Amino acid sequence: MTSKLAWKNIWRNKTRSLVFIIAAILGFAMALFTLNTMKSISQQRLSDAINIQTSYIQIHKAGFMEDREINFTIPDAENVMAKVKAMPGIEIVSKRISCNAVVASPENNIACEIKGVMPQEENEISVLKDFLVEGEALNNNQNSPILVSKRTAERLKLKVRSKVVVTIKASNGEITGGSFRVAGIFVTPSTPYDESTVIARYNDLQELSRIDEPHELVIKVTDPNKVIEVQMAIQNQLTNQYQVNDWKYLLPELFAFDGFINMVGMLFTIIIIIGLGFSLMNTMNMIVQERTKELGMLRAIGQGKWSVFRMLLKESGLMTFIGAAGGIVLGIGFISVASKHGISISEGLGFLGIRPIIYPTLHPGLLIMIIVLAIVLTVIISTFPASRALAIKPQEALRD
Amino acid sequence: MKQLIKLAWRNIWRKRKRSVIAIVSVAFAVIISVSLRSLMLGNYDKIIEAGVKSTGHIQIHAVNYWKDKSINDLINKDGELPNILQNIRGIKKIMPRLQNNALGAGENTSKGVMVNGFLPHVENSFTKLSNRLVKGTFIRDTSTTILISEGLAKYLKISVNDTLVLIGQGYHANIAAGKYIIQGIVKLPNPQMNLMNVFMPLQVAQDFSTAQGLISAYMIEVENDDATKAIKSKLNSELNNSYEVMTWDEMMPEIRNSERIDTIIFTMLASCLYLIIGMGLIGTILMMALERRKEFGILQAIGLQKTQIQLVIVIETLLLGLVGIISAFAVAIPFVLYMNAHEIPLTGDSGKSFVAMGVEPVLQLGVKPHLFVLMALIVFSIMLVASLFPVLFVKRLKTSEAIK
Amino acid sequence: MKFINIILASMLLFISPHAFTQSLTPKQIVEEAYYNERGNAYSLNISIKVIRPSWSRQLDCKTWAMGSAYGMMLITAPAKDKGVSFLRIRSEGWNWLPTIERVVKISPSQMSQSWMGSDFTNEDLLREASIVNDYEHKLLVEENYAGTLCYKIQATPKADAAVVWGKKIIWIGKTDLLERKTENYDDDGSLVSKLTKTDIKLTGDKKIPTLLTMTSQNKVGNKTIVVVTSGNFRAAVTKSFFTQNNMKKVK
Repeated sequence: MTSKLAWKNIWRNKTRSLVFIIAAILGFAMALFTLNTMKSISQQRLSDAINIQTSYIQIHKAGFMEDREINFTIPDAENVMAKVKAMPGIEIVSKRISCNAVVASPENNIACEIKGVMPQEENEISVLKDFLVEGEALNNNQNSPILVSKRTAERLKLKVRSKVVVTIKASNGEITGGSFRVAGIFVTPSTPYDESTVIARYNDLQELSRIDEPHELVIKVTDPNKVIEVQMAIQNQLTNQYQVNDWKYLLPELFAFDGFINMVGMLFTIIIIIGLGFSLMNTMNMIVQERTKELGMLRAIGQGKWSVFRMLLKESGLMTFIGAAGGIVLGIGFISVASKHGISISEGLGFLGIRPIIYPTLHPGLLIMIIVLAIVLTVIISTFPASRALAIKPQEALRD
Repeated sequence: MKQLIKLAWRNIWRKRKRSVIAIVSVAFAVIISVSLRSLMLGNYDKIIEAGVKSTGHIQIHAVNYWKDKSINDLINKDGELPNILQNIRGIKKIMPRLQNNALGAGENTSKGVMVNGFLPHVENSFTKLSNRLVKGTFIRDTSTTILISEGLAKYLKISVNDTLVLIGQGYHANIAAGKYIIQGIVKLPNPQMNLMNVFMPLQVAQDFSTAQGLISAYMIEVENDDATKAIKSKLNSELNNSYEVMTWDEMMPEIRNSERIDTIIFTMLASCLYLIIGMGLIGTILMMALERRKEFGILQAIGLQKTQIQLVIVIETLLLGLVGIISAFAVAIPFVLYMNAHEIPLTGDSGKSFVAMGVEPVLQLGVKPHLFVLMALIVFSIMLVASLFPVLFVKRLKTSEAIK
Repeated sequence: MKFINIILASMLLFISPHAFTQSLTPKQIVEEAYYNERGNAYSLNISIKVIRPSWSRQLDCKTWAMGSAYGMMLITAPAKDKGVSFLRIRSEGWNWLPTIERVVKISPSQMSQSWMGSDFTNEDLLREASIVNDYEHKLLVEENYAGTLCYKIQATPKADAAVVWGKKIIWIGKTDLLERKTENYDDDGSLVSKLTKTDIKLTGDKKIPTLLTMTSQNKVGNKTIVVVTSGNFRAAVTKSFFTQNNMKKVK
């Protein structure tokens, strides 16, 4: 009964209600769009870093992360891999060698990190192959292949098939070099990664460095939401000389940035809704004032205090709901248009791993956050004017 | 006119609650956007300040030096260059620097470091490096001892009075090697810089790199920040093409790039906010006019011109905005000033993300008068737009119908 | 950080009184030329001049070598660098810096860079007998070079060799089996640098080229010249000479 009345009441003053509803639609749409864009930037950084660089979980020998010593290899790695593979929630496990190297061409040389990877497993773990701009991914048929970034290729004046010499310190402390041929050239969104990484095959690098075991086991989980459980389970299976870390530990800055963005997003939503709240408050104020007589009448014919209060709350709730629903539809529309065409943000943010063009996607969590905050704030804000209706005394209201 | 203003003022307070909410909403929007932007700009001020302190406003190098920072691309410290620089108006101070990379070695560990040769007595009043001393004492131009950054000292496990060994390549392929007593330890705000800097008197650095009489850069402090670009073009016209002139933002483009993304975020947020607040105001003011239909009719009937009524409405609306702005400023100005004087250290994850970006994890609001002017202008524009509807309404109003 | 390397052991030439051998394989020719340049042991005085378009710099050095595995070098001038020494044992190198009283091991990152800012790369200098072991050799033609009939030999790196070059072309005198010129090519077959060996003179009791010039093709005006001023091919150096301890006191 009150709902129907509330609905009818909204349209008694079309202009006023429409102004509020349009404000709400635009507000919700823009908030949804902005938040999702920001979140998408942060998620893009994270997922790029996880998918290209670290994957979800890594195992090292304890101490390797600090010193990156060539001899800090994972003891009994095959056994560990077999153990991990047998556990639930694991999609794939692969091994890597990781050491400091100097890569030289006749033109120049650079210091960087060389990773030795298993071509097949790595292609399932890392999406680096999607970022190849020339050449092809590593496979087992090539002859000493190496992947370099476009930046490295430019500095060393390399093309696909060019030869480079990689010099590293082998496990016995001797300095040793090997020649590799550029199989592919990649460009990832992260400039620091591009500048400091080259990738070769595990077996080639193992032969060169003369180590018996890998430095790093890389684990892709089937459900990214269960990383912590899987990580704990793995650590429980292994002794203390193995260090098991998830991506949050491996990519601390990006994880922190994501948290920062979540905080900013929450703040943003609260601010927008408070802004909207002022409109709502004023609208409700006018309504209560205009209808003092009418509300008094309702009371006089036997409607309870709270019933009138509820009706007013419903009226404001309904208006906000229409605005929010419209806004969400419009916002999702914006997002889907933007996700098709992309939003060009600042160039030159590669040093933060941010792509120059972002394709925002809808994050359901943000949608829920906006809806929940909207409900909470609407109730709080419209309670003030509506509570004035509680104070109306039927006799006095009718007298004027 | 005075009468009209008085009338408008009184009209505002006829619907007190409504006006108060309108004013508060304006104030809210202004306070939020001013504080947020002040925070962002304050943050960038800190980044820029730290950046400028490390590079100067402008630097002059040998042409193409900046690209490779080769120790072979040096310029003469004395001779024509300082003379030309001294004669250019707007330059407050010129500071010679010789930078080189080297391997710094402590007892057991070693690390790549940046060796900065400078004139302590000339540079200190600009860089205030001595304020960053956490241990030991500051060096003089004639010292043979050095300062190292705090992170580096920790990494190499050395401290004051210990010896730092530096090995590198000097000018024209000379061997650069030397050992130096550490006289002081300085804590640099940028964590990356804090891990890799060594400071020594220019003469000592020149001896280290076998670059007597040579420097890699003249760092320039300008009297007025805003004149940086103008002084750069002046320098470009005065100097021949064996030199390159670069401003701080050309040397550190990442600062401008990340500032741009922050500006985008702020613009999105502020436009959302003002859009919503603006719609609310438009609604409120439109309603006020609609409610006063009868009143306008009577006013016209007793001989008031339509334009006068419209003027009253515009004044009312602008007054509303003005009061909103004044109350916003009454809150925002002391708040911004206070937060400018008292910085908040950031801890936890957000602190870490600052550190990761090479920024001191501290929140400090910047004092930006232009921001206040901008916000006031935005509010006035919104108010003008808002007054448009009632003005049009009055224009179409027929006296006879209104009174009915 | 470009500095230091051990060069000289492999840079110096030494002619053995070679028998008039007939029908050598290309590999044997290169090998002979290589070993002709290196006796059992020697000590030489040399000067190295690094020439750049806007500057040049000269170092005077003393060098010792034994076989192809051991090398030592001591800088004698200019005064600032006097006493700096380099030691090479096989593919490892150390550098003694008297100003800081330290022996510094040459790290992999320094290994692949130019030696003391010169045009010599470690590829040229450090790798032990690289030209013999890391390459496949092919005799292209016999031709006159600088007035001498030479074998012109193309050396292509073996598939797994850690060599940056695409190929080398070497001219070796047919009668004296002394190297006259080497050209270094990159992968695409363009010339990157060349080393000429001229002024064949009696040094000590051997006839060797005494003027070595390394020229960079891509950097106009860059070259490095090595002049052998005097030498002794009967120097009594033994393995115990090539130690880190000795590099601090060698004179």
